[in-house]
Amino acid sequence: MEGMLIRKVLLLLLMLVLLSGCSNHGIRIHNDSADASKAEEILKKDQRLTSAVILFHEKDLLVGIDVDTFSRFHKKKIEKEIKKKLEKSYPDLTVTVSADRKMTIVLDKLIRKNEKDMGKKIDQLKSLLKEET
Amino acid sequence: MSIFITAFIVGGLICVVGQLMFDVAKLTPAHTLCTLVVIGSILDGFGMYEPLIDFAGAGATIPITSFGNALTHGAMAEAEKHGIIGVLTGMFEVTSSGISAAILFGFIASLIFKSEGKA
Amino acid sequence: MNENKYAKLEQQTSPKTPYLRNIVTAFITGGTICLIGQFVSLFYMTYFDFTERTSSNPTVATLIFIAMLLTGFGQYKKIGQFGGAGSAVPITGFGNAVVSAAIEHRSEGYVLGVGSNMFKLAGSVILFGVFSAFVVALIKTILVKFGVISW
Repeated sequence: MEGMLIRKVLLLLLMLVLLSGCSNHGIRIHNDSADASKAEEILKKDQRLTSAVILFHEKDLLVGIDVDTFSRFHKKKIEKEIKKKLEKSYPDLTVTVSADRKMTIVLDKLIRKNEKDMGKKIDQLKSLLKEET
Repeated sequence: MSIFITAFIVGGLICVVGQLMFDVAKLTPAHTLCTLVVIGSILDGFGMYEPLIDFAGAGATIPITSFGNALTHGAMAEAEKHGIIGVLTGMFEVTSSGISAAILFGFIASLIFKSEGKA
Repeated sequence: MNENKYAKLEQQTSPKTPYLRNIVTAFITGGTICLIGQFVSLFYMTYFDFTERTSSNPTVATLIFIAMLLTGFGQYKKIGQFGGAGSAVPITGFGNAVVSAAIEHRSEGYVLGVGSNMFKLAGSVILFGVFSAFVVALIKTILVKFGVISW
C-alpha cells in the first residue's frame, strides 16, 4: 500500500518536472526610442534571470524579468539591483522593473499586438504594480 | 513555470507539518490550525513569509498560515506609517478575504443546501 | 480490570496510526489543492487586472467557493477522510468548517443556528490570528522604536 503510494507520488512529481520544461527563454525587446543594447547586456550578465522582456516607450523603460527557482526568495532584492543598474545607464528614462508575472504577461501582449494606446496601458500597469494586498 | 512545482511541494509540506501535529503531537484539528496561524504570523514578524510567497506562490498563500501572515502584515504596514497607534488601527483595517468569503459562502450554503441527516 | 490492564488492552486493540501513509496522503492532497490554487491565480493574472501580489485574494475566495460546493454536496468529507491534514490546513478546510457548521445548524434558525454556530472552529482561528498579529506587530514596533531592528 505504502510502496504503491510513494511510487504514485514520484510519478506525479516527474510529470510536473517534465511539464515545467516547456517555457520560453531569452530576452524579448521592443524598442521605439532608445538604444537597447546596454539594457540587454545588463540583463544577460545576470545569471539569476531565466528570461526577460524589455520595452522602450517614449520616456518609459519597462522590464519584466523571470528569475530562476531559488532566486525567487530574494526577488525584491534582484528587482532593486537591476533597477539601479538600468537607471545608471539610462538616466533620462523612467525605469520600472518587476519580477511579477503580470509584468511579463502584459509586456508580451503589448509587444505582440503593438497597440497604439500603449502609453495608457503602461500607466495602468504601473499603478497595478504599486498596489498591495 | 517552476512555480507550479514549488507551489505543490511547499503547500504539501505545510500540510505534512499539520499532519504531524495531528498524529505525533495528538493535537485536535482546531489546535493544529490555531498553531499554524500563529506560526504564520511569527514568520511574517521575522520577514520570512513574503519571500516564501515569492518562492511558492499559492503554495504559501492557500494554507491557513497565510491568514496569520495577512493580518500581521497589515498591522505592521500601518505601524510602519503611524507608529504604535498604527498597530491598533491596522488591526481593524485589515480583513482577510478568506474570512469574508467564508462568511458569505457559508451563509449562502445554509440557504441552498439541506443538512444531510434530515433531508 | 485495573487501569494498567485497560491501557494495555486499549493499546492492543486500537489500530496503529499509519504515520507514513498519512504523511504521504496529506502531502498529495495539500499539494494538489495548492496546485489548483496556483492555476486559479494564474487565470486571474492573465485575464484580469491582478498581479502576483493581489491575485491571492480572489484565488482564496474562489477556492472557498469550490469548498462550499463540495461541502454542500457532501464530497469534502471524502477528501478529508483521504487527505487528513492535507484537506484541513489549506484555506478550503477553513471554508469547509464554516460552511458545514452553517448547513448543519440551519434548522435552528438563521440567527441562533447558522449565525452563532458558523464560527465554532473558525472563531478560534480568527481569535488567535488576530491576537498573534497584534502581539507580533507590537513587539516589532517597540523593537524598531528602540533601534534594535529596522523595518
